Amino acid sequence: MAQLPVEILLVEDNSDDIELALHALRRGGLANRVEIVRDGEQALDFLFCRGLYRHRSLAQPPRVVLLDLKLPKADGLQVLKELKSNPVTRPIPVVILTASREEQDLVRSYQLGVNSYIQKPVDFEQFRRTVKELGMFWLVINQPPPQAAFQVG
Amino acid sequence: MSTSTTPSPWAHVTPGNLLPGLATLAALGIGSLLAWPRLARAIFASDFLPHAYCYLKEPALVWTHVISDSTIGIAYLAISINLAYLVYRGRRDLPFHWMVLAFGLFIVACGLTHFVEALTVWVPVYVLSAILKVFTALISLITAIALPFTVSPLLTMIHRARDCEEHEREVARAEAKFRGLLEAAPDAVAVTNPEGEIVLVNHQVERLFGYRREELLGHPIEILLPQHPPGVHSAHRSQFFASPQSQPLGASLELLGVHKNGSEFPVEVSLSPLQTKTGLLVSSAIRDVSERKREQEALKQSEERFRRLVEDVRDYAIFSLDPQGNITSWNLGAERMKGYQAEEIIGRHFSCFYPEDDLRQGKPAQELRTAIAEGRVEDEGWRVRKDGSKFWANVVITALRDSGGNLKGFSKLSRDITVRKRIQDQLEALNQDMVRRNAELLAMNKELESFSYSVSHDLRSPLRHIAGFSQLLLEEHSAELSFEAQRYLQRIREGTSRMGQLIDELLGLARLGRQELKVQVTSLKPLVEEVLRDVIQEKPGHPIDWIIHPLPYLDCDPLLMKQALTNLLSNAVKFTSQQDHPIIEIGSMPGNPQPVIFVRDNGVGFSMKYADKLFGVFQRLHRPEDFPGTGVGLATVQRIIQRHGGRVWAEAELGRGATFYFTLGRENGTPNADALTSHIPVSDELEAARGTTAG
Repeated sequence: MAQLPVEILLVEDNSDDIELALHALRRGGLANRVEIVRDGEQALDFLFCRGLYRHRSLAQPPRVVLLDLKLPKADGLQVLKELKSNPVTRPIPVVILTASREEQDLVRSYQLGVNSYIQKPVDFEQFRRTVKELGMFWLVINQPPPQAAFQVG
Repeated sequence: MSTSTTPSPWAHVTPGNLLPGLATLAALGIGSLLAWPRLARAIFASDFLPHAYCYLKEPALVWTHVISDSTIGIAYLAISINLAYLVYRGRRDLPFHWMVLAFGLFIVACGLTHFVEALTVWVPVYVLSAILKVFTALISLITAIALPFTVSPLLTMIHRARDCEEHEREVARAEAKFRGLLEAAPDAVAVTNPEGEIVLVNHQVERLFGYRREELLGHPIEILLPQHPPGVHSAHRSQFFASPQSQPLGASLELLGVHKNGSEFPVEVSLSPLQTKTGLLVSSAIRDVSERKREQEALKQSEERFRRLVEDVRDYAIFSLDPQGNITSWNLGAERMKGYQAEEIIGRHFSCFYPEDDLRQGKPAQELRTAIAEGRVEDEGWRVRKDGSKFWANVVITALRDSGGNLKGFSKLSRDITVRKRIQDQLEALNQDMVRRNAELLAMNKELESFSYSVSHDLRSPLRHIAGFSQLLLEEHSAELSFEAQRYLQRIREGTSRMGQLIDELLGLARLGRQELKVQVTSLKPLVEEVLRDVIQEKPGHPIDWIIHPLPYLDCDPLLMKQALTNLLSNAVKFTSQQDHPIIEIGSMPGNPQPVIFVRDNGVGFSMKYADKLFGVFQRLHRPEDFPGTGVGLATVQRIIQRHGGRVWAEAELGRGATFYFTLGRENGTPNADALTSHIPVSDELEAARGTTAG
């Protein structure tokens, strides 16, 4: 599993949320290659292949990043900003998956170039359906950015 | 007749005493002739040949002599008669009249000689002729001898007469000049002699007094300027005549003039001496000052009115200062405000009204300097009353100048605005308080915002966890759970779902309060149609009879308005859901200032006694089993309408439907409920009273 490229990067600090999300992903048959990071800094390390993740290759980005907004250290919007302002990471699809439906969050996220914004429904059944559809869309339906998209210049 | 060559005795000869003399002489001559006939005979002896013989009685020659001599005689007689008449008329004024008489006598004598000459042509009275000739010769001789003696005085007289004439012309010129000046003078001028008689007036006098010139000359000046007050004029005049130099009457007198028609008018008279040949005259320049008097009187009255006005003003202290700042007048308002009586404060320096701090800083003097420099100065500050108490005053000091720009003093106007000052201070304090509160409110709002943000993020998460794990428990461990346990878990799920809904709506309501209003002119009709599509979509298959009346344009935020309409129409749909023939009506009616929009349904309605709870958050008038809902919908509607400055209200009857009204902007008066609700169809089924009412 380690040698295969990560398909989903889940950025989530709450263990309950992680468990429920993984449960939902598993139910959707999508939990095979999920990497979990617990704060914004770790997420950035992973994506820019530094610190703990310096062995990783920039050439193998995740297929999609599921990003919570409220995170310890660097928060979700900060992570989003850094990803989208760097040409190396800009093509990586980022989906905000958060409890918030505050307009300011939506506005800011889209201004920073988020690819999708999903509010986690309170109802678990709905949540599960949402996660499944989300995985299906980004990993199956959606054509990922080709290698060339990551080459700077 | 005397033969004296000196003219002096003749000076007394007058025609009056000359004729009797001549008559006496003639009588003596005739008397002598009668007394002595021989003498007469001798004189009138005519024994000689008449002269005609000498002319050989040649008639032409005879008549030429006779006619010529007669003519000469007649002419001489006429000349001498003229001379005699001249002397008689000219009397003593005729210079050398004795010479004239002598000439006259001489000519008479010559004339007589010629008459006798003519006579002797036929009557040869040569003796008479000779006597006459002797007489004539004598007279001629006397005249010829006397004449040289008169030449010198005659020449002198002629010179004198010429000088005199010159002088008279000069005088006439001067007089003409004087008259010209007199007439050109703007004032009426009357010249009087020491007796007070008018000797000269100009045209202006005629015009001013209505008399003709000749009606005045020789009359006393009193007819124009009577002694009014008695004695003034003549007293002045006699004093003036007494010592014209020391009495500078050029300074004007104010007297009364009297017009010919009897009317009196004020005049200003200035007297000046006029030294003339005939003595000292007085020229009176008279000026009609009625107009000036009237103006002065009007000015005086106006000043008096103004003074009284100022004196009587109670709410303002109005007083004046001299250029040094000493008080010169004091009104009632000043007395009331500052506590000083006029008599104790007039003359004191105005700086006594200033508190010590101001005095140390030299404020009174500074204010006067500013008033001088800028015309006026306005100040607000504490002032001191007589009793030492202070008041807050508004003070205006104005520099007063005469027409020449010289500083005459200052006027000072003060108002006691202590009360206003206090109110201002209070207002300022209140304002500061408000600014502080506003800041607090902003901070609170900010806090609330972050609070609701927190709620949005953090409150929902545990809820989701509860829902998620209870669901997983149900799904993955149902075999281990009793039926009862499974039912509880189900209830937990429902509870979390409802709480999630509540949190969302509450956040939505909170957001409404913060959201900026984007007002634009909005047509209500498309908005309603859009809402209707959504609402009908939510409740498909519900046969509602929609009645949409014409709808106006409103100044509103279309998004918020849509939300309000959505809530109102959803409500109407919800509460008519149990009707067989639900009818929902949307319309508008004129309102003030903006139209009133209404949404009417024939649903379950509600009791008006709960109307005040209708728009409260989480206030519900039903059981959720009958009509689902969170109780936030109408609160949201109210919040939206209130944010537009409007009002929302409802009228209903239990079981007979409800009507919700709203209007944007402040309106005056609420429409009549009965008139609006009377035609709502009543459903029989709804007559069955419900325990709860619609909302």
